[in-house]
Amino acid sequence: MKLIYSVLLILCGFAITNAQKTYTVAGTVQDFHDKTMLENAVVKIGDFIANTNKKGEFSFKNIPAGNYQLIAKHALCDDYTENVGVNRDLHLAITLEHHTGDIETVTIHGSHKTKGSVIMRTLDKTEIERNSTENLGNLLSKISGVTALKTGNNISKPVIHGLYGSRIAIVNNGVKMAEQEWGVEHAPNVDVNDFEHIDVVKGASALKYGSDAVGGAVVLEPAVLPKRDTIMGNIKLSGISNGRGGEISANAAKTWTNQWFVKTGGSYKKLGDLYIPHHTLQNTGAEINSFNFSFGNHGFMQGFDVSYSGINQEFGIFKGAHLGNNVDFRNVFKFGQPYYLDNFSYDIVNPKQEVEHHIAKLSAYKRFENFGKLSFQYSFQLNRRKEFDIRRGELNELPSMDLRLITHSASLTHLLERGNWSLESGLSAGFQDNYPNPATKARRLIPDYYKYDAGAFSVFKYKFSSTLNAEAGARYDFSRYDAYKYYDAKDWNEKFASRYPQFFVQEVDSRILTRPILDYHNFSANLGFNYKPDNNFEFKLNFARADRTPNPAELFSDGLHHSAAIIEEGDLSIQKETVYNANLSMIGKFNVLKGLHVEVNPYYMISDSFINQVPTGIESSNRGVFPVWSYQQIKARIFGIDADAELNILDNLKWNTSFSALKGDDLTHDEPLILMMPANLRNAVEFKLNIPKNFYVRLENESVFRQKRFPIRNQNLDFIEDGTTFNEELDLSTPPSAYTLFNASVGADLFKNLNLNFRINNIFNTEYREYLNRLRYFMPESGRNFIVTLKYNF
Amino acid sequence: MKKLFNITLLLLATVFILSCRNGDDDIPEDIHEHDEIGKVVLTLTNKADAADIQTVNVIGGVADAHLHLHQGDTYTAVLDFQIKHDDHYHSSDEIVEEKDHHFITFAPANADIVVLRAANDIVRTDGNKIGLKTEWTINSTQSTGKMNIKLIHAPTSVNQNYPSATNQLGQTQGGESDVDITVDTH
Repeated sequence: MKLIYSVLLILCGFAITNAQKTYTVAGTVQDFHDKTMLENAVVKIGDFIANTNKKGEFSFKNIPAGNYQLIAKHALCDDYTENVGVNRDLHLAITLEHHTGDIETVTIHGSHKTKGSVIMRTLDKTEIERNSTENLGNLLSKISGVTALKTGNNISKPVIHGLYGSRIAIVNNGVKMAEQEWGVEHAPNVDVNDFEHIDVVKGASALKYGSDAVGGAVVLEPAVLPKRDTIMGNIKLSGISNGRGGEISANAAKTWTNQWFVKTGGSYKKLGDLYIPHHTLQNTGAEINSFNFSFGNHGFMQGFDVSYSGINQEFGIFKGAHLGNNVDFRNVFKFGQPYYLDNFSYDIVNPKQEVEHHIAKLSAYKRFENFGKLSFQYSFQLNRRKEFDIRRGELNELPSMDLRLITHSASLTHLLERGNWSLESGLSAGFQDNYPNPATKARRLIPDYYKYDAGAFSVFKYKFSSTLNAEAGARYDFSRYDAYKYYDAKDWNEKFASRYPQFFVQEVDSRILTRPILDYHNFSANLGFNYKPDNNFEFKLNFARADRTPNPAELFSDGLHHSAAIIEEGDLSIQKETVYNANLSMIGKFNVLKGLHVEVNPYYMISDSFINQVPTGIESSNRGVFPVWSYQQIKARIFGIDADAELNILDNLKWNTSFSALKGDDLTHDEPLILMMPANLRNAVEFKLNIPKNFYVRLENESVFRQKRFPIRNQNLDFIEDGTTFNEELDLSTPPSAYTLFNASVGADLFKNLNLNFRINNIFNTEYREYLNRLRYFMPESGRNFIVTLKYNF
Repeated sequence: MKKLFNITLLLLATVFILSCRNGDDDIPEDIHEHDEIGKVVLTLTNKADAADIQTVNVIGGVADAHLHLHQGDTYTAVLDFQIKHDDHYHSSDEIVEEKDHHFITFAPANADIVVLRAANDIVRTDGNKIGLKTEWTINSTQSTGKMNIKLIHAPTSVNQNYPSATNQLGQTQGGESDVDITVDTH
């Protein structure tokens, strides 16, 4: 009993003693990323509150001993919460994540301003949704300086400042797409419904995505998911009159407060034969379906995600475009209209393309207190492309091209951020396996090859002051092709035997098997400045040099390209393409009416080793006489200007205008470059109301001028008609006339979560042809199109 | 951290190991040119003189001989379209098998040659004769005389009676030329 009393007394003593003891709790609050001290952060210990001073310091005197919940808050940051036991003087160093607020604001407002010196334009969520039935190439054409290279209307590739194909990187959720992009009639395998915003980087400054992107990059980003317990998503249904088809798409994501998420989505689109003014074109339908699934945990300190996306596209190719030789071309011109007209059908028959693309990705990241952020990504891509021609007999069932491309890619990136500067470095490695299936019984357009890639880059950004930022980056890439290719003995001996005897493997029946192994060392660099003297003006200046490894078509092409009726020849001796780029962007805000926003972007590109196709001769076969176009390296120069302005006339009425023009020249042959985008002028007026919610009406005009600068690529034809021999020049070079189009759209929320959008493209059913449509000889562009979209958000 | 590093290295290593080529197993087989008509054989026999047989072989658009045609005579002409296989050629059955997708047109120049599609020529379902077997009547010819022969695959429309039922040179619209050769006739 006495013992218990004593113990109790002692304990009480301790309690009383401790209760009277107070301690100092002091410390600092700083930004996790760049370690800057945060002023005016609020620190709360129990009921005690203190604010940090300019140096981020706080102190509490006389905190009674005990256990408290500590909360640190700062504007635009996540709260920091911790349980602290105060039983002595404490010094705490608290770090807060400063950037969460930035990201969420950006997504909500839909504009994506980059603080860097990279010249970038963004297609935001609204624009994507209003045009969600379009393919990527046609959608991106809404950005000034960007157009589409088309083969018919279903197949459309983005062209940035005159450059396309292998010169543009398409980055899909962080994965650079490997999809035989060298082909002019190979459309990107992308479903625009999967993305919330699309950034277009103009020019070669995006070193992070590899060195090949000398023309620019298209960066497709899905939505940033919120960090709370919720399910969100949407379902869209569209009806499309041109093609009498439609599209259905659905997206859903479940997120949790503990930052786990699961996301999935899919879409299906079906179109029948295309409508041109007064007719339909046979076999111009399309069928596309896609699916994506991802899950992961995006915590602040570390996170990972696993994702899969797959797309399947089937396109009919207009039969009238499938010709045997250039005399057939002449007959098309003479006939004056497309051959296979009317008799609308949903069927897609030969000639057609069937392409499948799958991407599987694993990425993970971890932030270290002083070491920065380390990110790892591994991606696997499978592309299967089958092209069907009109063939004789049983061969008609077989594709004339069946390419299976597997690409593995891994990268490790390190990001270090401090108050005034940041350093981002990375290592990457890739392996690609291209397999042209011989079961086609048609000669391979490009051969079997393995391609090995390895690269390292580093980008340093420095903030001189609140008005001036600069960035400098460098990159090295190594690429190796290891191919097996067959040549006709005659061609091998004439062109390559003496230069590359080491590639010879064996000769059988006047066919030579070779194993070319070609290495490339590429160096790329960029230097950029961003000057923002006040809130009304911003200037960006960017210089870049990029080396591009030649693509398989440029090296190995060997044969008749049917739809173009030309024989294409690659060259093993082609070296890497070195491109120099300068880009200036001037942005200004002026106090005119309710606000005027102007952006002007002049640019300049020059290269001494630009890889280009040039006619070099003719070849005779039983099918006729064909021009031969060889890949050569020339001196090329492209310069131009993009200008955009937005004038807010009233609070709810705005006018947008944009103009682009460029001039491209082959300085080696002293002639213009082929397929250079004609100058164009776009205007749009948009009126908004608050009732009904999100109501808008928009009227658009697009005027495209005639391209007067083009190389002469006419062909001389010898043919016999009505008992006489003729020699005629076939004009394949002259671009089509200028044209002007009007579009309109209107939309509003019908109910709380239901939005209706109605769009008419080519209101007046204008008949026109586009220079950058390779099938313009055979068919005009689409006629009028009505698109209705119902979207339900949940 | 170290674990992450090790996993990364392991992954990269796996990628490269799996991707290494293992020699002879990978050599792809060559593909023969199945779609192209590598050789066209035109055989003319003088109806008045069975010993007067002329054969012209056309490879790569180049004929290995020219035709010697006598004014006033009529010749039976037979066309044989051949596919190259290794180093030899074999006749294609597919033109006859797919008769409704093929048609042959003739076009003489600097020569007055009347063409009639033979009685034993292959007849398409639409009643037009393909033109594999024809009869050429030589009204006149010169040193610059030529005959153009086209094999059209999948034309949208054909007319054997062009310019007339008594001169069946033939006419088509649409489709693609699988063969377009010209042979000298003098």
